[in-house]
Amino acid sequence: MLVFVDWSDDLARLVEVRDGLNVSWAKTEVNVYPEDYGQVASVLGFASANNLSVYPFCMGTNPVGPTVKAKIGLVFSRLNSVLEVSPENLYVSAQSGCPLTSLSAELDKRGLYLPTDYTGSMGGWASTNAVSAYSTWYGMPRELVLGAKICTGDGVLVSSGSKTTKFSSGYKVWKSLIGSLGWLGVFVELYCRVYPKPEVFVSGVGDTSLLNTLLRGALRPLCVWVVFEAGGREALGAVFGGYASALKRINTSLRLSEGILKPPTLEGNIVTVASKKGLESEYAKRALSALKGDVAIAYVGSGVVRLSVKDFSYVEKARRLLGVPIIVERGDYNGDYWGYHPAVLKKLKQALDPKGVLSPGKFCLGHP
Amino acid sequence: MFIWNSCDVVVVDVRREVEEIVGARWVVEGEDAALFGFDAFTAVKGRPRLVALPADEEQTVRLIALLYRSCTPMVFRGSGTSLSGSTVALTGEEVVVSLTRLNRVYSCEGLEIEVGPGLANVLVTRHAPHDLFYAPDPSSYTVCSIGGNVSHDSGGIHVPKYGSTFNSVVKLRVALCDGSVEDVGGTPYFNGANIFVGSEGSLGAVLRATLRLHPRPETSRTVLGAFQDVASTARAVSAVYEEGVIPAAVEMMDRNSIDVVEKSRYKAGYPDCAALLLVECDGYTPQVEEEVRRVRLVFERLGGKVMVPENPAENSRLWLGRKGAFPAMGVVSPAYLTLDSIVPRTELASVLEEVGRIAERYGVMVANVFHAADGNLHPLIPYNPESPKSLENALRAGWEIVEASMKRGGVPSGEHGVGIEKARFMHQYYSQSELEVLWRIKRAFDPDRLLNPYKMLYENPPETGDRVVSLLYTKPWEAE
Ligand SMILES: Cc1cc2nc3c(=O)[nH]c(=O)nc-3n(C[C@H](O)[C@H](O)[C@H](O)COP(=O)(O)OP(=O)(O)OC[C@H]3O[C@@H](n4cnc5c(N)ncnc54)[C@H](O)[C@@H]3O)c2cc1C
Repeated sequence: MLVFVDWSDDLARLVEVRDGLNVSWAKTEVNVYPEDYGQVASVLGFASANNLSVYPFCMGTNPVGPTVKAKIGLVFSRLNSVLEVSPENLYVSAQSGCPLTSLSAELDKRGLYLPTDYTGSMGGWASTNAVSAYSTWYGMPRELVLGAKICTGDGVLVSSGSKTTKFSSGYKVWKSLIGSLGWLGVFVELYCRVYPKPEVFVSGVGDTSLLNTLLRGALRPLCVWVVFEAGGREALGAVFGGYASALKRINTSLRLSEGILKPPTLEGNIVTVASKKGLESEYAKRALSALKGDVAIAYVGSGVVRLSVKDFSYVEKARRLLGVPIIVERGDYNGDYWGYHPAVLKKLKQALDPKGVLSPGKFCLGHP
Repeated sequence: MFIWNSCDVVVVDVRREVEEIVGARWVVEGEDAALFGFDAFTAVKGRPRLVALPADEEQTVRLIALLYRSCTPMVFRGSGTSLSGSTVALTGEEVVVSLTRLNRVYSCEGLEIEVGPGLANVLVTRHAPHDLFYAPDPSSYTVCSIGGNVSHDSGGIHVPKYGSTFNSVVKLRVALCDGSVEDVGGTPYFNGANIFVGSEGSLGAVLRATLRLHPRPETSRTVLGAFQDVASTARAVSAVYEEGVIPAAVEMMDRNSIDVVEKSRYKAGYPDCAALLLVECDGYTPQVEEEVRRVRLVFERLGGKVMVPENPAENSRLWLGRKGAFPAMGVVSPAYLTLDSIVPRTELASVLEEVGRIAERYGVMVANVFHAADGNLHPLIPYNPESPKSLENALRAGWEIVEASMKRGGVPSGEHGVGIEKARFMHQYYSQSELEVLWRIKRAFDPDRLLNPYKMLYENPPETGDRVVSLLYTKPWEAE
């Protein structure tokens, strides 16, 4: 049943309004389901004019950071199309609510792929700057998203970046939104770099002593990760992609098999450690001990380590000890989820969401 | 209309206070200062009020705070090789803050190296461990600085595989106009470094950059394809990717640029053809061997004549010709414009045809030598620097090329930045409401519009009395 609040009638004139959400990662009074970009802009313009907080989301598969309480849930599920796949130019454009599984299926038909194992929507993937095993070679959404249509917190639609491989024609507004969890603005459409799917994938597991050879040696694997368990067990995994004729000549002491192996999925409370690139394994070991965690995964080459932890009691201490950003990615934490709050972000918030309506409390800087 | 905070004007003797911060030796004035008033976009020469060369981060921060407090416009400058004129001191009021002395290497750990903005691009790899290298390599890499590279998001030959400067920036230390310093980036979430890359010195100064290094490839091989028509050459670029090849570099040169190179000291012995492609494949040897085989097949299928250099000397010679193509223009003209609009790869043939028609219409010899895999054109348009008419003619031909690129889904600048050269296109490329959002960003960082004024964004043209400047700042629809 729809909850009637005084502004919801006005909102319903702009877009379909339904019941809000009451889940662990978000609480909203109503949810709205825009069907085009104009509706997204109208909703945000309306919210901004009326000081109504907004939480943008889509599939809810990968929430990051503190729970948001907002008046309006802005749901992207109806903006879910793949718009264009260009095998010649190696880009894809899709609406932000497009599930990555649908996108991957489309790409697969044309012998292409977007190197990630993320399972939510395109907008979620970009907004969380989701790391994956593929980040070793291809980087993260920060590197892969070529451009986007975005909407500011006060409802201005902006095309930023483009479908071209490079862009030096004005501020990289879309890049600032990547990893900003819908706090600076929302993606409505994204243009991403895609790659020809390698003829074969070969995966390998082996000893962590091989790490340096894999990271800095001749083979150039697409994925390398190391898993550390609290009990002291360690395991290394790698994926190679290329022509069959080339991959059959790989000479390594890894135990190889055809196909794509994936690192394990983390459950429960999760912490992200922003390590130095190339030193993820060292940081993973130190973080595992400092945070008294259960499992740590070092996404080698990406600068990201993720850990599952029993609780967050050691977060502050670990921040002091490791001296790098340590972020509470998932779970209830009473302290500061981020541990860093640069004034640069505050300036961007002021410029892109002047009324501070988007994702209140997600990344506080004196803004709601 | 934009409402700006008015400067907190503090009456100071700027000259004296600048000298107090950096020392008299590092303040340049008068005729000598004019040398810092222009860059590689030589069509416009400015004259800074003063040039200051701070020695370190602390001096730089104090200098910026002083200049801001005293309402003095400033231009940050690296090596001055910008091709879009983004270091030109346009109004004569600007103090140029040259950051070339901030050229230290602070640390190198894992795949990261932390350097000062004044360090020349080439020195990053030189300071890296022997098995790693810094990938972004503009052709100016022996002189251009990391601060300039970051501020233009510079590209180079190896972008197709390794990305532009943006992809290699891990973290930045930036100085903001209020004299504060922040370390931004280096985290997957809320990355404050992203907005500074490509911001052309208009939001703050880059004091330090942490850059990503890549493992050196085991093997690197070149294939040259010589074609008898431009359309097949352009088609071959996409066809290479369709074969599953991810080349490290794909550079294209048309007949005019080949002729120019062959007449110059960069002579490479290129075959007689309408256009050629230079492809570099690098990485794991067996993979590279297969890539080279496929590139050859693609070239042959499209009627190209294939050359694979037989020894390192021959390989270097082929690449030296490409890398020398800009300076080689000196054999046909003492000055030339270099544009850098970018189009989707599939539009290359059509846009190059249009470039040919534009060249004919304006009676100019346009030489095309460019990053073909990125669709990043570099039409070189010669002009006579003694003749304002000749310069105007070249500028107008260039604008038509940029417009032709935009019509084909491209953007005005792929890597050289907007600067003053392409400022007029901002009003064409962006809508008014989009521009207002860019202004909001500018205002949040630089409320008094003192950082690199009139570059990238402008509302009213600068009043310099210079005809070329007023041409550059004429909005396309206002032009006669
Ligand atoms: C022959 C030749 C070949 C070239 N080839 C290429 C190429 O292949 N690819 C390419 O992308 N470019 C190329 N360029 C263009 C140019 O070299 C690049 O744009 C380069 O990055 C500029 O670096 P710089 O140190 O000279 O910067 P400058 O020209 O001094 O400055 C460029 C911009 O950066 C700002 N800036 C500089 N330092 C700082 C700082 N520390 N903090 C904040 N802002 C700062 C300036 O204000 C200005 O807006 C070429 C230029 C020439 C002359």
